[in-house]
Amino acid sequence: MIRVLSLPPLATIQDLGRDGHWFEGLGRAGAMDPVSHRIANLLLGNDPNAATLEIPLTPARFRFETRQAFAIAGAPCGARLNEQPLPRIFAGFASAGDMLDLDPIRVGARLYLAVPGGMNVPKVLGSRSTQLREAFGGHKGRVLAADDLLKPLSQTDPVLPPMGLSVDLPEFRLPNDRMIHLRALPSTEHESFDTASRKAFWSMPYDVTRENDRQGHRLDGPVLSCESTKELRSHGIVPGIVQVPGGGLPIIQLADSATMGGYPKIAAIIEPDLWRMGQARPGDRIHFHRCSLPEAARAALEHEEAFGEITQGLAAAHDQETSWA
Amino acid sequence: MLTLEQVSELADTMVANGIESLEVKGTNYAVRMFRAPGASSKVKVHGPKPAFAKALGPATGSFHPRGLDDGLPELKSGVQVLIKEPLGYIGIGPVRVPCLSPAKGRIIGAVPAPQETVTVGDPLFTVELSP
Amino acid sequence: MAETSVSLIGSRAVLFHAECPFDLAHQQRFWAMSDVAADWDGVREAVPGMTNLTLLLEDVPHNLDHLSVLLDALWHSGVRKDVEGKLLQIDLSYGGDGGPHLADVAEITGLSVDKVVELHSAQDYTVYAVGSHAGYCYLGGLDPRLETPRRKVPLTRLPGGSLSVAGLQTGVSASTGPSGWNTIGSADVRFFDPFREPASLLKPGDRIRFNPIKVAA
Repeated sequence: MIRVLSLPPLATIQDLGRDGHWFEGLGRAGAMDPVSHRIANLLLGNDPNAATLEIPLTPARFRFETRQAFAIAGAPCGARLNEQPLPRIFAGFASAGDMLDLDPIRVGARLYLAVPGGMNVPKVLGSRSTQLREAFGGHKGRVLAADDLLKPLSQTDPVLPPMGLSVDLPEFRLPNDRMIHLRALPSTEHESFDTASRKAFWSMPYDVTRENDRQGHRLDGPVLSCESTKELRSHGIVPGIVQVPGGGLPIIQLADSATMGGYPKIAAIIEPDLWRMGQARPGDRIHFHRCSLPEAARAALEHEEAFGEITQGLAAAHDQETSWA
Repeated sequence: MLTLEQVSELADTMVANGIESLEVKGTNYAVRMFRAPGASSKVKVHGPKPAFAKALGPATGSFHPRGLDDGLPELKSGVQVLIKEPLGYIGIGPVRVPCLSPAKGRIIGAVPAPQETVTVGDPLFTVELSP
Repeated sequence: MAETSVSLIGSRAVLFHAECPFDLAHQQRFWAMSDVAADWDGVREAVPGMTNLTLLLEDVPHNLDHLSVLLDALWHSGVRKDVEGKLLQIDLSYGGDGGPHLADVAEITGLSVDKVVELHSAQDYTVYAVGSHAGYCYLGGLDPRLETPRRKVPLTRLPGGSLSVAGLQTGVSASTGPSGWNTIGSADVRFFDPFREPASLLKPGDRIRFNPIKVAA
């Protein structure tokens, strides 16, 4: 069991999202960076859908009230267990009374804290994700605050060596140069944008602005003009859609996206690249890369294969560990 | 490895000091000494406190330096480290087993090269203990 | 211009749109299409929008050809879902703090505030679609004299219960959040409750009648 000692009011419990209620206007919510969320869970032997604590702002401090395993994954933030520095991706054991300290995030945008079996909060409508707008799910439908307790669903220790574990996969590294590359498919109104706009969208970088939250990110950069100005009838939208309202600057809808919108849509970011937006911070730049459906299908396969590699690697490490002195 | 002469000298010293047997165990070479029944120990600890500690490879695999997308600074000889600080990793596929510092102090001597093959128990880093 | 189009809104999300008048008879065709498509292999959910249909898929499709053929055929079959759902009466406060854009709508339409309220509350509205946020109902039946464009820069925070208009659409929001519509009033109704079965109060085909209880410019 972990007690929150201090934490800015933005952290929520999330799993991989709430499916099956789109028809009621309820979006999926879920982890903004599902890659880091899944890695933290994998390291503890959890189901990928086990709930974690998504921490988009630090500094933060937690105290382990009991001995237990834990994992962190996501943005580097000088994480320390007592005085011991931790890698940005790490799973290990903490003793009762140990402190987990997180410093301000300077690269990336959020990290995930996982516990054995996942966070013990009730499922609502099939998921443990927090719906902030409707104020339900996760931890009582709200952000976490000082004195809140994070309880694990499992009391059994995961298989971990005493020194803990980390992972490294090149495809999941954070970019050094602050340029985020996103593969996207042309969307419904793509051809309605003029030639210069389409060229600019696919070749010029866009800045990540301060106007961002779990619902979406506003970008700054070349203004885009849509040839047709007639009012679009409200239609479905999903996370990853790049809308262009009348002002001409793109907005990317993300985890807490509305389920319907009415603005012109120039492109849709492919799902395997959405986690990169979950690690986007003001000052980062975005480069959109046009891709095809077959490429998107292949990217989805490769994405899952990468997690398979981690699972196999953990099994191999465990096999080796049982043969150590 | 001890020579026959050294073993002989060790045995004589043990007998002279009432030590019946000596046991060395584990990858960190822990030593236990057992007094002969009825003998009082005349073993005195001589010399200065051990000044160095070795960080040993926690697993068998290839060495991966820290500072590569792990949020930690690159590790070079001469830097100060804290006890249990990850100094580098042994890679098994994508998994990284951290090699933790055994003590607070300063890294001295050579550090392993990237991709170098490591066997569990290999001494990888030397830490000069803080006074 | 093609009468229908199938396009991507995500790696696993497809939007079907047909050029057609914005009226109940045509919206009923999308309700029917939604029911049929929901049962297709590989479709997780089918959700009608305002004379359009969104399909959420299980996997990334390799191309849109197969789905296009199926959706086109379904559209051209003319199948319609003629359903009269339940009627919900809602007390609505027009204008004031809950309806900050009532005066704007009056100005854009060239009507007086009282006339806007009179025209808006004159008939029953049919729930054409549920979406945007949980429990939010897009309503059809708005008097064409009340048509207004979306705001160029959306408001970031609109309270739950807000009644808004944009284009020829109107709706009541179910919770606090951003909106690009002109907000003309507010109501105190719980459109979505995750602990209720069903969670959403209304579904396509249900109807709403607004009773003006207060008007402030």
